[in-house]
Amino acid sequence: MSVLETLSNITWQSVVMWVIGAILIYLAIKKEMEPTLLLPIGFGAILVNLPLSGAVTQIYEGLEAEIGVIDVLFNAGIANELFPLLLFIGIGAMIDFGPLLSNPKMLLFGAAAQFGIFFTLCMAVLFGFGLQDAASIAIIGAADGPTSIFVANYYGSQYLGAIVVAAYSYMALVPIVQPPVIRLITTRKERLIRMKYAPADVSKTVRILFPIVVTVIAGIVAPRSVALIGFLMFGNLIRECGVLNGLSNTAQNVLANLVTLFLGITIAARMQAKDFITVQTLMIIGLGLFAFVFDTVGGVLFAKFLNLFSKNKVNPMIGAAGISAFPMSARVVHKMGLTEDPQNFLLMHAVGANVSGQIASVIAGGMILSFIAR
Amino acid sequence: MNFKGFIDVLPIALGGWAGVFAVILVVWFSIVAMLKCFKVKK
Repeated sequence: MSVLETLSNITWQSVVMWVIGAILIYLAIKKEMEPTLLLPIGFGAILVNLPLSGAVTQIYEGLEAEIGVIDVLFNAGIANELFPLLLFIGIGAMIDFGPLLSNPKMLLFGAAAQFGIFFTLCMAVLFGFGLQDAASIAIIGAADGPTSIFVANYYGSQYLGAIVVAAYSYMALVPIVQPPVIRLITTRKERLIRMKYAPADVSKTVRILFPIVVTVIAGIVAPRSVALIGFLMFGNLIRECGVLNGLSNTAQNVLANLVTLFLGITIAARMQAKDFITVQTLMIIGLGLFAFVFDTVGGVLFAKFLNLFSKNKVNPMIGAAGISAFPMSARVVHKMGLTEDPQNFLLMHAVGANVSGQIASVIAGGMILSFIAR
Repeated sequence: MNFKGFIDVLPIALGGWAGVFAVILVVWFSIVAMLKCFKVKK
């Protein structure tokens, strides 16, 4: 095949995808926005959109299909949901649920801040997406990449590439997205509320039982979520048991890095120009932002609602940390608290709400899988 | 604009969110029970 023939296969859509790939690489390196995912995704976007790219399967007239390595990886790791689940073992091993266990009330904010997922589900249907695609788009609001990939793939959504790019981009943009929303719906007086931190002592037995109990509860209520929550909690059990430090370190570092490496570049299989450059992609980017905004609104308004009945007032900003973007969201809330009052330390409360968001987002994914048939 | 679809999906969305709260409440009660049963030995 001549160079001229290859060049003649370049389309304006391919060029747009190269630009998108370059922007993602730029954001990853220069702005350090989720670099572990956005860089491989950006490079993959360029790789699969080169004319007649051998990285993806090509079908030539009269010849057998040439299978591309990206498609091989996609079928081996994403089509069967393996990569996001393996990544969950690593994430589970990284999370310290201590701040949540010592202050379990924070769990409620994790549940409240999943509001954006379910509101976006309705809005996506309103804008004309089918129920399964709407569910896949709504789960961007889980603020949790592997859950987004798992759910979108479960429904076989053709928008997987756009959904993943939106999910990881907005997770990186939490420090930009959340503060104006929080300020808009809280008064200065509310943002100044101080919260006492009196954590309960948590024994090692509780730390070990917690991942097992959560898996059993989630498995009974929403059996379809058991793979997601089970792998997350398996990782956490390895961390907390105290006798598998080697495995815990491997899960946190080697496994998580290795899976992330393949996950990022493999997602590019769904970023071919013909599938990606559509009006729907722009709508998904918009709906993703919508989901993050309404997650924040849900968490904050729920905290304000609790304050109507509670003697010990909660700083409503804590509700915003109930989204799963860990630990960015907790940091954002802590920083906003310090900006209003340099003596107001909200970090531990925010971290409790934030790890609760990790659990709640996975449960929300499980609920969606249970309520909406494939 | 698919208004009919929007109305149809509302119960699913509300049910899903309520389901998340239900599971979280059970987890909360479990944590409280575990904290009571397995205290730190001093």
